[in-house]
Amino acid sequence: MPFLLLATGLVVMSVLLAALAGVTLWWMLHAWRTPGDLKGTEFDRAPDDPGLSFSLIVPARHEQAVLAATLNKLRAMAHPDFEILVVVGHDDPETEQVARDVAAVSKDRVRVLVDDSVPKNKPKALNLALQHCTGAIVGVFDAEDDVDPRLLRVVDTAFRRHSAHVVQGGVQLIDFRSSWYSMRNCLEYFFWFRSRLHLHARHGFIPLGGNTVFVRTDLLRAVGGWDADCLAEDCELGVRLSALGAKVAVAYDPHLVTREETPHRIRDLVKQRTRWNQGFLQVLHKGLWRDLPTRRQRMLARFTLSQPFLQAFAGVAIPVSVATALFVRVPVALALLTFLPAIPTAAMAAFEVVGLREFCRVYYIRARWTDYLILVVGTPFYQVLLGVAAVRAVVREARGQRGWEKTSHSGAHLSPVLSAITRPAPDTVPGTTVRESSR
Amino acid sequence: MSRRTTATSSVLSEADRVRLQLPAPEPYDPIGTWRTARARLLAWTWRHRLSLVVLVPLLVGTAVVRMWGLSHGPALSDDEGTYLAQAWAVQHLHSLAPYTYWYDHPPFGWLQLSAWTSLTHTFGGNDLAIVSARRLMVAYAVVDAGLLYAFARRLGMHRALAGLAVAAWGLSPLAVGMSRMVYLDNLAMPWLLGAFVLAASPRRDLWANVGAGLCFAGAVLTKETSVLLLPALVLLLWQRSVRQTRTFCLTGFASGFVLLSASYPLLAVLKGELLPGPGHVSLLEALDFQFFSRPSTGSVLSASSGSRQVLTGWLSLDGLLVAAGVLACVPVLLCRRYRPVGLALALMLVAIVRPGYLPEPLVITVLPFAALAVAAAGDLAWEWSRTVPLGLRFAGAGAVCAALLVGVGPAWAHGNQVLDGNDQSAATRSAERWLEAHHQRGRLLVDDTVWTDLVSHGYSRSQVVWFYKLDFANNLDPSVRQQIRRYSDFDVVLSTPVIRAALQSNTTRSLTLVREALTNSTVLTTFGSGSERVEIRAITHTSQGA
Repeated sequence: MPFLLLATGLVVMSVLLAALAGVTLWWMLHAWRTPGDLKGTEFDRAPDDPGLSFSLIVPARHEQAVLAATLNKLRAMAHPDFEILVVVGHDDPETEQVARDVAAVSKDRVRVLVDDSVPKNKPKALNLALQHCTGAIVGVFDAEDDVDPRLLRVVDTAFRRHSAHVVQGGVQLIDFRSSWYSMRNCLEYFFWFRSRLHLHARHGFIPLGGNTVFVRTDLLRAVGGWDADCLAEDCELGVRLSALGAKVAVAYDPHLVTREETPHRIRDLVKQRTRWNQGFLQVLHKGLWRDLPTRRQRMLARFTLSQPFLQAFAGVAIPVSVATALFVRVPVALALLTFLPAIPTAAMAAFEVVGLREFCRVYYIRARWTDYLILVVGTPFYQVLLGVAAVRAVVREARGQRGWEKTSHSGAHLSPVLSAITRPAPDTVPGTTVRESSR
Repeated sequence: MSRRTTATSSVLSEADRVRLQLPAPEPYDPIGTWRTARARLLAWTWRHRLSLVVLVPLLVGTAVVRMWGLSHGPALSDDEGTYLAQAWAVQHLHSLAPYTYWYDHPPFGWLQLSAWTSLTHTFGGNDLAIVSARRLMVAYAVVDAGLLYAFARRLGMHRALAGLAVAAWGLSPLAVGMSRMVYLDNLAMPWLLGAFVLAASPRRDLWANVGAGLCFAGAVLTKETSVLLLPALVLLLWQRSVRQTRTFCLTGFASGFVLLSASYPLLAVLKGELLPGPGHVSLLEALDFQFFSRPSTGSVLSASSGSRQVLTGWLSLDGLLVAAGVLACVPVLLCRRYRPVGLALALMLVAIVRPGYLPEPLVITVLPFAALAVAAAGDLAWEWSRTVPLGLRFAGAGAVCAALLVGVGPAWAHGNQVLDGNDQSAATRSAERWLEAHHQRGRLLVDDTVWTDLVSHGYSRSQVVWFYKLDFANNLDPSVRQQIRRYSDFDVVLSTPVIRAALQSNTTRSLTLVREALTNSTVLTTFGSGSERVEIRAITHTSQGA
């Protein structure tokens, strides 16, 4: 009897884990499925004449080191009609000062709003800014973002060509050699924005990203803005808008992506992931995804929102089941079956190597053999980090700890060297000066 | 604390929906989903109506030609018996072989077979187990024919020519005879052709490539010689992929193929049988035997060799399809579109011609590609005659068809008649019935073709022994060697066509015990006559003493 239980457990677990890894792989590779799909994910880089007005919100908290550079990049956007709303905390005079300095130079473009709510978080800052927006479209950027000046024109075009309610732009971590885990981190973003996001857009369920996301102002106001109590306010908004049937377009072009840096300490990475996972858990729990019209969308939503936990579960369960098969005497057929999840998992590792090659090709980086080595060898350790973050998220949510653990930024992605190598010269608007970095 | 403070709900008023240009919510409609599925199926059928008109009669023909006289010919082979015994072991002993599994072949073939035998309750029935399993082979042949057609179409061949390829493979007596037999090569064929069909995906779908890898692994795990066609398959994948997604497609194929195939060495590792060691079999030894140390059957070019005998055996059934395939191979290799077919055929031909061990079923993998190559050559001839007036081209094509009908038709009809003529399994069946009715005491020395039937009809496993297990030179399984030392350990020996042929071709004299048993025995009863006769002989124990 105990054997039967063990056997059944192993079989069920192996099949589940294999299915889990298989589905994740399937979605991860969406963009490369057929040449037609690949073409469909590319964005027409020749934009129409501008026709919409934009309000770009930049919430900034203790970001005095990088804020000026970001604002200057935003000011340099090649678009005739946009405003920038910087939201700073009333208890953060350094950042406020930097924001006011920039606003003083550019009075017609930049406004500074002071958020005096306690405790502070990003969705509250966004909701405050939403009240003051005058543009037809609201865009969100983070204080450390490196934004391409051509982006707004492309987004403008995307809204009108697709009659979209929401346009999600691409975001890419770029400092892929700054630590052993940064490459994986970069690749995650690459696969997400290059590939999987398009699948979500196609199926009408999209967990939006935290920045470079654009929403029609009237729609955003009609649904009451962002959920101030959710740690993944971006994802939550995406779910809510998807449930309403809002049309989402993805404007992805590897050269127009917003560049960010990887968390520069493992502690920060774990904190960031914990926040996302906890946010996903909250969104899952809140259950608005149940309003999605089709069963397929609901399955996609349920799976996507619980993915961090499934991933953590897989990270623990695969070694456990293989060890059970090897060290507990079980029939050979059963032992073989426990290796079933290894097939999609190893295939994923192979595709990540291919993804790294593609990443390097797209961003004109010469890949070294050590990069591939670090990628492959680092995989299990990275899985451990993700597992830790997932467990942490569950524990914190269970304890009711819903505080905002903020990630700090150094501006590694803003280093002139990396930017110069990887970004073609932007068509900057004449007359504006761009400081590369305030570091 | 409520989490629903600012953004509370996804419900908007109708007016808001209209103002914001949001779609009205649609109710869930399962009947609509079902209708869509049905409509899709109908649309698919309508789109492929011409192909179905061509293909369905061909599939029926393929099945009928093979079912007719299924048990009559070819003669039962000991390999068929071996695989059935292994399927029996899977079903009844939950192990991979009734004796020690020594990695003679990867086991996926008889795992498929055991699924069929379980479903149809083959063992213990009235029929010979081999004949029952041959019915499964007919089903496989129908699938093969369908896949062959699909592959031809995906290579851009006209329906008529694709149909010609299927007809050639479906009706050639050599293909009919070989595809009836319970050979691993037949069990591998749908996987192999499936891999080619998927690799030629017109949408160049990444997942079709992964599927091609998995199917190819299925083929290799059924019969390891399938791996010979890897270069042809990779060439096809390369040709079919476009630059932007090529790396992903090839990675998909490689992942599917390598990772699934790895289950075979993994099986050996888990059983502690990867590396040679005292007291157990090992995968490495088996591979060494199959690829290097197995006694060569000589070159087909030398008239007295075993390989030449095998070749003669094939050609006695039908030489036309193979000959036409060999002739078509060169022009097909020159054309980019058909090059993978040409390469596949060329690889198989090289494998046949090279000196070394030539297994009889190897031709099975040659035939579909030979049929395809012939049709492809026809297609090329049609294309190359573009400058000729259309009427003349049609006249020429008509003449070729008429010539085929007149030249090949009677030959193949005759070949199939010979194949189905006299019942080559009748003697074996009668001998089995007799042994079941007159239950023998003591140990029986038999061949693999009757082993499974005897064991499923009351004989114990230790009582009936495969004669081949006494080939101490070519048999890596030590279990029988440890128990049996003298011919007098047996009480009854069968003299079957299989055993006599093995003794005749076995020049190393490693079957000494079998020879001695036949010499020192007297006939109890005989079934059939001539070379097909089966004798049941009692061992005379007097000369040896106790």
